[in-house]
Amino acid sequence: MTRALRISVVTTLASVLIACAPPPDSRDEFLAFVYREVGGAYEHFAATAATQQAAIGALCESPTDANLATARERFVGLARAWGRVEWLRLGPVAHDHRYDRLFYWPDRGGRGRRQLIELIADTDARAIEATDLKEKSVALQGMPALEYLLFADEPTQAAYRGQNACALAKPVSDWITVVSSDVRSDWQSAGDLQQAFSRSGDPLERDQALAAVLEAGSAALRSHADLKIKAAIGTNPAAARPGIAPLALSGLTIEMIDASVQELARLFGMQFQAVLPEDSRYAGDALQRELRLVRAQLDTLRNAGDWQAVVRDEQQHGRLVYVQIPMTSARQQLGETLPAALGLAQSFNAADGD
Amino acid sequence: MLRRRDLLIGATGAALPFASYATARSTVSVIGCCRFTNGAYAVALVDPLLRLAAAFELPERGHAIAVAPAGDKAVVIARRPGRTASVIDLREPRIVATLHSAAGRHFFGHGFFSADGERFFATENDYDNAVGTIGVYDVAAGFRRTTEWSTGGVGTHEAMLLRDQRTMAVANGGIETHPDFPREKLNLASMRSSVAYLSVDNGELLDVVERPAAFPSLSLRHLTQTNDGAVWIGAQHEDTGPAPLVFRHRRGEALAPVLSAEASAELKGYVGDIGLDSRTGTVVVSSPRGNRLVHLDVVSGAQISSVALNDVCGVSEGDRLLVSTGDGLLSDVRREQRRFDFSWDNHLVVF
Repeated sequence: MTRALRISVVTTLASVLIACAPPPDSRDEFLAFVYREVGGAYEHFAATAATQQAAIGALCESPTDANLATARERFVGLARAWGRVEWLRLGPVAHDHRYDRLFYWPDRGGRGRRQLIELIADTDARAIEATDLKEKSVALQGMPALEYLLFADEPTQAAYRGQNACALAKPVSDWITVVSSDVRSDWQSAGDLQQAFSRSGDPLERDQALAAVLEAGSAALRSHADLKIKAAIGTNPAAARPGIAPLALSGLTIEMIDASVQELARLFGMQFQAVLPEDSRYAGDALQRELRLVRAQLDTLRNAGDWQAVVRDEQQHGRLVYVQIPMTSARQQLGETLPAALGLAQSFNAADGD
Repeated sequence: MLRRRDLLIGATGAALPFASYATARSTVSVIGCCRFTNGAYAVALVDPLLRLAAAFELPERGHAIAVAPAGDKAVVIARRPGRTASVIDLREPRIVATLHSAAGRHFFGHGFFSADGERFFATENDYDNAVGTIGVYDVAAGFRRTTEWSTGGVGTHEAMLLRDQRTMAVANGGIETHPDFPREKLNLASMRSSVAYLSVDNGELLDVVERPAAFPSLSLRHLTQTNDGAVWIGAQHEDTGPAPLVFRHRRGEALAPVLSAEASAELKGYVGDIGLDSRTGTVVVSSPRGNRLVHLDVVSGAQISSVALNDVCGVSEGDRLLVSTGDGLLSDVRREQRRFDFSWDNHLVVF
């Protein structure tokens, strides 16, 4: 081989390698994108909580059927807004159990419901203020508690006509507004994702933050498939326990999961694809394909009727079984294939110790 | 006599991918749970020269191992919410029995034998009632479960026999879990972790000390005891922000932090294991999340060293302290070490 040819081969190889590799700052850009988008989602959640708070205020001032309907409608928006942020359990939302304060689930044994019933029966409950809730059980504080107060059976609804249920709904919705606003503010003041994820004040390194984002997405999909759906639907409609799913009372279980999956699909879309080496972009495509399959099934399920009825229906039950397959596949992409493609260390003991 | 077939074929009959280590050796002195590259969970038995002697596939992911005082048998306990424990006859070696948790109970991953080897104790979860328990097993009767004792707490994790041989220390991690939602932590905002002392004779609850009130989200999980009788505890923090993660305790006193919140920062809120190194007079603490191995002086509690070690977790006890990592390293942190083609799981035992 002549010297000129050797130089040409080396130059060509270098060009190919450069063309295959993502730009060096694509990871920074992706993390900045996630930081902005999550910030926007927290902003939306806090704003939706404030809208819900206003609707509850109107309901408590004037407990009419129309105001109750409006308050319930606002709750649908709140459930979807929560769905957009619920995948992330890191950062300001993890501080001081804010995540549980906003959405305590699983509530095994229905302790939240039990405590609410006791409080409704207690005339002193009228004196509860939003900040008093901080010292009470988290089962009383967040969206599942508000769901019960808005969507419970007729006797509880009757309590809205001037009794304690409304006296509780008001502080609970006030408190959701306070906590969601705190999370939003703390997220914004962190300045970037690495700092937002910090536990001890020291920002995470870039790849640690990237690995944490992927792991959080993977964990959310595991939670949707294994905990929210599989645990509730059982092996057949007769063995199902739809009531243990989150937001089962309002029938918004699928609505919330759908909002979450939609958000994950957006976050791990084009911007994420740019992070991947060219020879691994198929894995990013595969993730999007699986998430599209999930969303198509969820869309059908959303329109199939009430959650409890859907779970009991043979055909829809089968659909709920099926949707776990692409969910699990997407989880594996985010939790295993893609971190490996990005060269992110997947520590065995650190990832899932005991 | 160990046969090559025993090495290549796990107890359940499934092939395991470690043929390159399948040299027959009859002496076993190290046991640890592990995960192979094909995802199979197993228990690995290693000889004194740190060579693999045998490995057996487990029905589910294992956690810790208890060795009988006579050194003739060991029990590998599944991690939560596992329902099996595998009994190994160390003389052959082979798995001779699989124990199944009682109805309404699952194992929490730890256990120990009584000093005379006649009873085996396992930490268990009465999950419908959210009560931590100790399951008591009659060894001679084929590990028949004879009774259970309440540990005075929730989320019981490690329990150990203390040097008086009549008392056990129990770390109640404080975290409620239920098999309906495997591995989900159900009560983080209201958790109350503690260390309890029970009579080994009858399960009488002798003493309970709770985590410091200033750190309600601390989960006290792993234990060791030093020669002066103090029980040392490794903790995990279920909230953001700094928290002390290593404590020392004597009955009748409050928990005393050994590593301050600031000094614990590099452990990233997570101590994976804790063990006494008798030879150097140190207590060794691992943090796989911080990739750190910390040596603490048993008398003063002062930090002797802090070594970076990727995904380190398993820490043994005694005169020959070994540590293990998720990337396959088994090491005495001085000169002896060997890397295996599998991930060592959380704990290991040297005997």
